[in-house]
Amino acid sequence: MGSRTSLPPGPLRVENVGVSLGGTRILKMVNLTLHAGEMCALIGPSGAGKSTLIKALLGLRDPDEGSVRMGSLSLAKLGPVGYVPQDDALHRGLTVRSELAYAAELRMPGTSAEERQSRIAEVLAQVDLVDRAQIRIRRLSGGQRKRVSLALELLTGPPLLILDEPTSGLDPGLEARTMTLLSQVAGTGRIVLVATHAMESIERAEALCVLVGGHVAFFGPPRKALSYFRVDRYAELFRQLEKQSPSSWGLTASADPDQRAFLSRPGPALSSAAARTSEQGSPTSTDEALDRLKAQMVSPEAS
Amino acid sequence: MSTPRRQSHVLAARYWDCLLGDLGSLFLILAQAPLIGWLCAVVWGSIESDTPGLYFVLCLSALWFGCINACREIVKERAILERERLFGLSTRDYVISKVWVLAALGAVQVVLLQGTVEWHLQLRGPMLLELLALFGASVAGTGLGLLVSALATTQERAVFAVPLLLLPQILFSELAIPSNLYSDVVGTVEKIMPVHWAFRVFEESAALEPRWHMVALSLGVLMAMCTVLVGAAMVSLLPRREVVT
Repeated sequence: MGSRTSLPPGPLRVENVGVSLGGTRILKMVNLTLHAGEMCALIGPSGAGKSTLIKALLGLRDPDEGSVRMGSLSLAKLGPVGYVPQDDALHRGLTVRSELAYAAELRMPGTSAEERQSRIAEVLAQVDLVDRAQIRIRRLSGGQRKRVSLALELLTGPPLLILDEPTSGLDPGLEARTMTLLSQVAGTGRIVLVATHAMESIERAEALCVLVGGHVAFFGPPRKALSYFRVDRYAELFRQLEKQSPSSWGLTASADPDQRAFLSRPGPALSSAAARTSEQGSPTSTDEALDRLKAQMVSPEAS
Repeated sequence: MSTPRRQSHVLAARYWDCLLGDLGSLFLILAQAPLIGWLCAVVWGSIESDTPGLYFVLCLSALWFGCINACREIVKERAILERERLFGLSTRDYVISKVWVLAALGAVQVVLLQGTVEWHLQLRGPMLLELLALFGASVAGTGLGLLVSALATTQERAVFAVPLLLLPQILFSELAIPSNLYSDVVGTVEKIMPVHWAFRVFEESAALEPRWHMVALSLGVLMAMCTVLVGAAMVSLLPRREVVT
C-alpha cells in the first residue's frame, strides 16, 4: 500500500437511501451526488437524521433500501472512509508527531518507516501543524486538536472524508479557518462531507444538503438555498423549515428541477482526470491527477 | 526495510508513551503502593508480628491496584479502538498490549508495597514467593479491570464498578465471616475470589512446613483467572459497535 492519496473511483452516489431503527424510519429517500474535489455541508435541526446518514456512509448501518456507491464500488469494497468524530478520539498524552507515527504504523502496514515519516510530514504541512509536531495533544487548543484528528485521517488518503461538527466549540475566526482548510482538503481530489452548524462558512462548500425529519429538504449549491427557502441568511433557514412538514419538504425538493439537475450534474475536471486515470488502469493518486490536470491546462491536446 | 512490528508491540509502545506523557498521574499510581505499605507497617508494626490480617490486606491491595489501573483503559479509548479496528486492528493484540503494560505497572507497585512493608516488618515467608502471590493478585485484578472496562459504557461507570467487585473479596473470606456463619456456599464462593488464592500462598509460605503443591496450585489459579478474565474482555469487545453517537 502506498502512502499517496487515493482518488475516488467515481462520484459518491447516495440513491434512494432509507434507514429504519426500531420500527421508525430515520432516513427516507435520501439522494445525493458528490464528485471528487467537492465539499458538501450537511445541516439540519436535531433529529434530522444527520448522524444516521453519516453511519450509513461509514458503513456502520446498512440502509434498508437504496444504495451508497462510489463509482462502481460499494462502500464496503472501498475500504475505511476517513472520519473525524465530534469528540476528539486522540491520545492526549502523546505528542502530535507520536500520535501520527503510531497511527501510521497501525493503519499503513507494509510501508517503510521512511515512507511513513514522509507521509506524516505531508499531512502535518497540510493541516498547518508542523510547528506543533512536538507538542503534547493535551496542550493544544480545540481547533488544533481537530486538525490533529484530520491529519490522522489524511494519513491513509481516504477518497471520502466525513467530519461530524468539526467546528463545534470554535470561535468564528477558527470556524472559518477550519472550513477553509476542509475546502482545501477537498481541493486535493477528495470528497468531503461536513456535518456543521457553521452557517456563516457554508458557502465554502460546493454543495449543501439540508436534512429535516429524515428527508432531504434541499440539495444544491449553497447560494441557491437562500432563494429556495426565501431567506436572506443561512441562519434563518432552520426557522423556515418549521413552516412545512418534513415529508412535504422532501416532496418539494425531489420535484425541484434545479435540484434534480444538480443530482445528475457531471463532475468537475479533477474527477474526470481521476476517472481517466482509473480507466487506464494505473494507480490513482491525487498527485498524478493534479499533474494530469496541470498538463491539460498547459497543453490541452495532452489530454 | 525493517521488519514491521507486531500490532501488540506498537500498541504497547503507544500505551507506555501515553503513561510517560502524564508523569503526574503515573506518580500517583505508583505512590499508592508505598503509602498503603507504610499504613500497614504503622498498624501491624505496633503489634510487632505479622498476622493473617496483614496478608489479607496486602493481597486485597494488590488486587485493587490491578483493577483500578485497568478499569478505565479500554472504555476511555473505545472510539479510537473502533476506528482503528476498521483499519485491521486486532482486538486480541489490543487487549494483550494493555495486559503487558498494566502487568509491568502492577509488578512495580507490588514491589513497592512489599518492599515498604518488609522495610518495617519482617514477614515470615520468603519475600520472592510473597511477591509472586501479590503479582498474581495484581494481574488477576488487571484482568477483572479490563473486563469491566470492556463492558462499561463510560469511564465513570467503570470506576463505580470496582468497589462492587472488591467488596465480595472481603465479604466472602474466612477472615471476615464468623466461623459459625461460614457455610459450604460461602466456602465455594470464596474459591472464585482471587484474593483467596493469593492469601493461600501467603499462608503456606509463612507455615513451618509449606505445602508447595498448594502454593503452585494457588499461583496457577491466579494466572488462570487472569487468562479467563482477559479472554472475556476480548470476547466482549468482538461485536461491532457504532462509533457515532
